[in-house]
Amino acid sequence: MPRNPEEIVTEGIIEFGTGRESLVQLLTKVNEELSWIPTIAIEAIAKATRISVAEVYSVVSFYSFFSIEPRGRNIVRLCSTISCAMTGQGEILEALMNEFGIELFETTDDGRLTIETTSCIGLCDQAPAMLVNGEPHVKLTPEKACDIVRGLE
Amino acid sequence: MHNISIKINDQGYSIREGSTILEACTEAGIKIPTLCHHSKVNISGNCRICVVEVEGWNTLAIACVTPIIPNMIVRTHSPRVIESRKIVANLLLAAHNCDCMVCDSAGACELQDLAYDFGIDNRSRMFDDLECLEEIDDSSPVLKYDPSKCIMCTRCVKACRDIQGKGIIAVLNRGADMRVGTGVKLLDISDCDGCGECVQICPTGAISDKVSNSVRSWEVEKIRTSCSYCGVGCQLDMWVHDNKLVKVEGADIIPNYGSTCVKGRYGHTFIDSDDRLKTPLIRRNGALVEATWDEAISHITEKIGKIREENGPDVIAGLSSARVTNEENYLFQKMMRAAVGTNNVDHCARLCHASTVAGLAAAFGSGAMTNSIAELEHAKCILVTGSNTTETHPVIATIIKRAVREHGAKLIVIDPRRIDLVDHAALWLRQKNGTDVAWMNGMMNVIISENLQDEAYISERTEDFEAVRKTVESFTPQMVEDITTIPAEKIREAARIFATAEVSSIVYSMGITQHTTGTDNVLSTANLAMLTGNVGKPSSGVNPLRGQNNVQGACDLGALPNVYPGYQKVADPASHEKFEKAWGRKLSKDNGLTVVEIINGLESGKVKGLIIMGENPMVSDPNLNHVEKALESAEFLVVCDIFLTETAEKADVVLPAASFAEKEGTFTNTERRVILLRKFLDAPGEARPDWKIICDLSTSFGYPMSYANPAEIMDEIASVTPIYGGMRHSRIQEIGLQWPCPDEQHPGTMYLHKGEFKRGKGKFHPVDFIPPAELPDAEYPFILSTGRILFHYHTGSMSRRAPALNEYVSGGYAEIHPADVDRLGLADGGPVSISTRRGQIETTVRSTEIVAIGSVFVPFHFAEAAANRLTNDALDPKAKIPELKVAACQVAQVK
Repeated sequence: MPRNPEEIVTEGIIEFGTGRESLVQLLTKVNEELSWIPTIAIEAIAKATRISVAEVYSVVSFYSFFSIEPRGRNIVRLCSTISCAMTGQGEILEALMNEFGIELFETTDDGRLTIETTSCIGLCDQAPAMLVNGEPHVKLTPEKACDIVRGLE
Repeated sequence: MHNISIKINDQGYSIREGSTILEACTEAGIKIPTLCHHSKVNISGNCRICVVEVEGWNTLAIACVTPIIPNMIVRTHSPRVIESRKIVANLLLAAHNCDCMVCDSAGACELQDLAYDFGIDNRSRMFDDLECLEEIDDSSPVLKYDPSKCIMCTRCVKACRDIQGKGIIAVLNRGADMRVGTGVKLLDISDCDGCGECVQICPTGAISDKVSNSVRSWEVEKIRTSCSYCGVGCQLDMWVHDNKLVKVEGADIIPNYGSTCVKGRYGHTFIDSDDRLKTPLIRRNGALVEATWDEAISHITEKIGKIREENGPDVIAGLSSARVTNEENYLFQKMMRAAVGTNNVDHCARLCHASTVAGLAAAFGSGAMTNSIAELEHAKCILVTGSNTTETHPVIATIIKRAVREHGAKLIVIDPRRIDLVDHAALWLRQKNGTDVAWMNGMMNVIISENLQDEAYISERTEDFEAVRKTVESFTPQMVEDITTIPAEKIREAARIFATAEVSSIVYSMGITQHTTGTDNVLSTANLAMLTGNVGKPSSGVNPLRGQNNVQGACDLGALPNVYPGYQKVADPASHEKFEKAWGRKLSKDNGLTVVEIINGLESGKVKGLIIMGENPMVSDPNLNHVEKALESAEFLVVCDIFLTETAEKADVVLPAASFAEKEGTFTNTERRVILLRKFLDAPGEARPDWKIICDLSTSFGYPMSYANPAEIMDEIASVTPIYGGMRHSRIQEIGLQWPCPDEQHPGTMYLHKGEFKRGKGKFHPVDFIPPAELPDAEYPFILSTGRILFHYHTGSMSRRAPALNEYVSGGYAEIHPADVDRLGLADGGPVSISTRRGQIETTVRSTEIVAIGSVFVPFHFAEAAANRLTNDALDPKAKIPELKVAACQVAQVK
């Protein structure tokens, strides 16, 4: 069972404080634990930091790694910038979507997996590359990528 | 800060250090285009239209953010600069939905002006149109946001956050998806209260009014006048087209500097309601039927004359009004005193700030706000008590929030309800209703026992301190906790903050005054302020916020039973003689009756004839069931109003009055500033300004009155009213003047009691705690409190005729704590019955933690669920103000 978002925020406040500067850390904490940031967490963070809900939401919506919609336990972010695109990112994406039966930015029904694309992650020399739950994987092929994702819990 | 030398366009200038290039250019008279820049909000420097060339710099400098440095050489209109600005303008236009031909903002759009200045037409556009975001948020009752016209200047975001202190909107998303919004919700269900600050500051048509009619800026005449709602006295620019009000803008001038609230901006549509009174009405065979002015005036004269002849003048009474002008209040009380011959004249200030007038006059010698609205921004501690400022004086609340946010002031809120300002407060103390003397004595106890009082001030400026020292001795924080339920430690903390801040200001309203101990409460605020040396200097003082647009003026001009204009006492033989001479009539030496006494008098027969101008006691007064009986037993009742109010329905003669839009005169706002009212519409039908009606009535009563215009009335006011001695309409055409203003050379008075109190020395009054008249018991276990809300005003006769305001709140309700809602088996939004020993109403539950468990709050604006059927008409013995803030009530399911 995922934890109550307000509980995570309360814990984050002890860790990071309630200053304006703690905003991104608080959001990151919630986002990492739940894979997304529910409205109730946004409101709790806004209240604690005395930043308005709109402003907190503004920050959430600016960073593409933050999500306001539920996502899977595992998040695959396939780099879609030029080096990766030129070395077969398209086929890898296609293979992943086929294998797991979801479209880009969708989540499997069992809540196990979300597939996204991301801008450059700085691994052009080992393209194509992807992040799986923040961990980099490089020199991908469609088979290799599917293997890695299959192995996730 | 000293000046430094710079060159702009080959010309040398000496400009204050710290200025930006833009400010330097403005000072030099050189115009640079701007878009995101606005003098009222912090600089963002994101539109890049103001770029200039600085010699020796590789890139162009952004004029609005770049500070000048010595010997800087700036070029504002070089070919490189012009080229760059054109690119910026073209980029903005490419991302803008250029439907200027049908855009309401055409003619008042800064982007359009820019395109025009640069000569960018469709053929010379540098870039193809980008796809615009289409999704319009028009969910708010008053405004809409169209992202296709938004240039992302972020002025609105800053206006909402920094000017209004709300932060409802922010820039959302990134890149091409960027838009302004509230985030998780649409505007209508967000906390947006529709003040329209964002609409006014938007440079294009991205955020626009829904309420305004589709008329372009060049088609209208803009007339500046004063708002007809609360006591802030916002200056408004009325856009008028074809004898219709089409749009309202806040005027960028003292006291509101462009801001106003949802009522001021969107609540004036009542003016051309179909049901405005257009002809006089006379009751014939039980029904009110149309009549001519001559018939109405002679009918009133005959009836009032007969009653007066049979019973003497003191059976006649008049209720003047805090809504009408100073000039009209002056004439009304003059008519009552000189033409009718009685001091039975009062108005609804009796129900709001009578205790202020009594208390502060006793302590300081003057019963008005000691300081000015703008000064609040620089107070270091602001103690707000019994004032839900955000809802009742919205623009003042923005200033309090800015004091906290921008200038580090400590805000202490002491209120039984968790009001909006609590979110901005360093400390919130929730006292039990009606225990205000106790916590103030408690704070003084702490201040004295910790030796934080201003001894020098006390000994030099005040008297009778010893008595207060003795009285507060027993009010230890622990004892106060027992009475008020405020934790002892919080009392100590509040006392320390208040006493040690460099300047502390007390702001209060009816939570302090509307009690049987109202005068005691007010005296306590005065004690607290004097104890800490906080009266008679800027940004300090005791600041009662006056509720209605001209309640200050109605008091100032003597619409009170015991004083002539300028608070000159009826009981003082010199004043009495002065006014007999000035008005050429024998005047009564006896103080007249107050509002509640007049109503009681109708029932007992002590009062037989009543003339009411612009008041609605059938909603505003306590214990309405009693008021209703009283008005029905009046032998003759005249009501002069703009609508057939609940009170007018009971009248024998109804006279149609011109609204604030249709006449001239002055109001006095809460900070004692006399401000001008300008006519911008013609009155409907045969409605006439009250001052003309009074002149006719008085003349018909045998005391001729004739004035060419309100300016002439003001000249007479000045001649008999020392505090208004220098007031002239000609002097307040631009900005108002604050009384005391004794002569025509006097610049007005920003804050009172500088150097010396009006009465000489400030007088401490020892005040002991007395509980409210009615406390909860087994039969009536809840505490009932009544008050105002943002979206409506007084008895709702104006605000409830504004559709936009009704969209926010359309009817009455009762705030009840969720725990009580559950316990009693009620439902949020469901019906509830509330009853007291005086009456019962059915209304709607609003389940909210704003109120404490065991408390109920009911707004009083709604006649069909009238809070005042419940309220207690027990009076403060000194000020005769009723206890509208505390009553014991029952809360139950509707059977």
